[in-house]
Amino acid sequence: MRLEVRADVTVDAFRLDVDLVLDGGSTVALLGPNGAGKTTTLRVIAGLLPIDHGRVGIERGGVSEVWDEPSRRVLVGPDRRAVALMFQDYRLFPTMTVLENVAFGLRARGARAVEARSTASAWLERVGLLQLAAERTDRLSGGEAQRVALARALATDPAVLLLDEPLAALDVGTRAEVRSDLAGFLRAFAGVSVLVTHDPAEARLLADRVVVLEGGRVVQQGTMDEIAAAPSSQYVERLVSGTPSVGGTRDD
Amino acid sequence: MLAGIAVLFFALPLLGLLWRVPWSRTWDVLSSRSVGRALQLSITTSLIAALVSMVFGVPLAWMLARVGFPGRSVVRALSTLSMVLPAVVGGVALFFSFGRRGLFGQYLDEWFGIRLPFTSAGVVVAQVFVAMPFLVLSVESSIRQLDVRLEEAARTLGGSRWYVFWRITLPAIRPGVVAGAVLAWSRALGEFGATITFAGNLPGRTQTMPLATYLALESDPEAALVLSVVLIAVSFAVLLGLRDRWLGQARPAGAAPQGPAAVTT
Repeated sequence: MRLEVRADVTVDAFRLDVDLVLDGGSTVALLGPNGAGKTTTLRVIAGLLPIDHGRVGIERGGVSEVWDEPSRRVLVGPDRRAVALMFQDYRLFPTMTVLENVAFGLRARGARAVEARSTASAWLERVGLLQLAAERTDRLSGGEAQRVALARALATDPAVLLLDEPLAALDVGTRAEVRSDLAGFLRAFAGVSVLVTHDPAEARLLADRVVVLEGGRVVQQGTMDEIAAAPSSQYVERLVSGTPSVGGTRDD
Repeated sequence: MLAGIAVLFFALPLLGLLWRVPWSRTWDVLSSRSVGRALQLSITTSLIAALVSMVFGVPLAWMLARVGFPGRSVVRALSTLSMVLPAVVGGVALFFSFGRRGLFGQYLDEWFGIRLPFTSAGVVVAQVFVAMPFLVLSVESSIRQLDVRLEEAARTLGGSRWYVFWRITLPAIRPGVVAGAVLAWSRALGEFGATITFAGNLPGRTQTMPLATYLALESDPEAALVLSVVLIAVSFAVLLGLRDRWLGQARPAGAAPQGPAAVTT
């Protein structure tokens, strides 16, 4: 499986111009300061932001699928891409129970209620929250909401899993525990996973490869060690040599 | 103090009305056949008008709130014009467009055999014409306040536009839709000018409660008082019953905080 993103798009005077090739079975971290275009890149892949020029497509099982190619007037909506995006603020549906949240993607894709509920229950069990199935989402703690959001994203069996600052909204105490759980889920995930973070320690622990973005462009990519060995800019040098940041800042 | 004067201003006419009601005759008036028919007609047509306003008004409100197109403000002004227009003018306009000799009415009759003037359907048309803008404005403002984040999340989970509207958007704007439907319904129930101008005043077919009340004022003022009280009672009961249940919780559900995630900045 291979996801190719060649995207040139301008939103409110910010221009994102990136060229990325992402392989299945590995996790790539998009690392960069606020406003570097990390979240924008995820929105492009998910289909929430159509590109101006370039091509976004996926090749799986020898079949290539184009998702967005303006020159050929091809644009596949977010609902018809095999992508799941876990938002930084989770965006659980407040009008539904935890179980209904996790089952939403399956129902939306036409699964019958009974099947959707049993698949959703299985996912809730996997993230250890089956006992909260009937709860309303506003009763959940930050760590619980994060795991529900992860279960909801994975339940649709996506080819591409996008995680936008998955740990940023958690307090420092729960973060370490949730991070190791997340690492386990990412290792087990066969598709392409892309993680947005501004924390090099998080990138090192969760991702196989790192892409550094600055000002809407890719400035460096490779493994964390390669980047640390030869940082290509002052920002990257400060980032990899400094102490791991614990900030919970929100991107874009 | 000023607020007190405002309350008195609304309460005193009510008091004056109730003071003069001939309670001993109430039952006689109410059980008369013409009143029963007017009341029944009023309730049926106003409910249908509210329903029709909802079916067409919610999509219109969604379009005004979400779809950017040239001339949107003109379309909005056009579709809410009848709120500020005297209802009689609306009735005249309807008469010359959908009346039997109207610009479009003659074809409605010729091609489909549909005649609106002097029919109960014409009453509904007149009511929808004046009532729908209330629903459109109410729903449009709740769609505007709605946060698109949840709809985006639902889209990435595989929801088509229609599915997302049905499962996410509509539940979130429900208080606005209910409030708008109640406003539209009460406006339709009280509709007078457009109805009498366009649909006429045929007992049993187009003579609604407001028309019956106005006519009774000339022939039998005591009956007019009784009819007024009935209209007031019906409207008051509905407004009172719905306000706490639905309008009280009119918060934009899409903006509901979700755990600590919503407070990080």
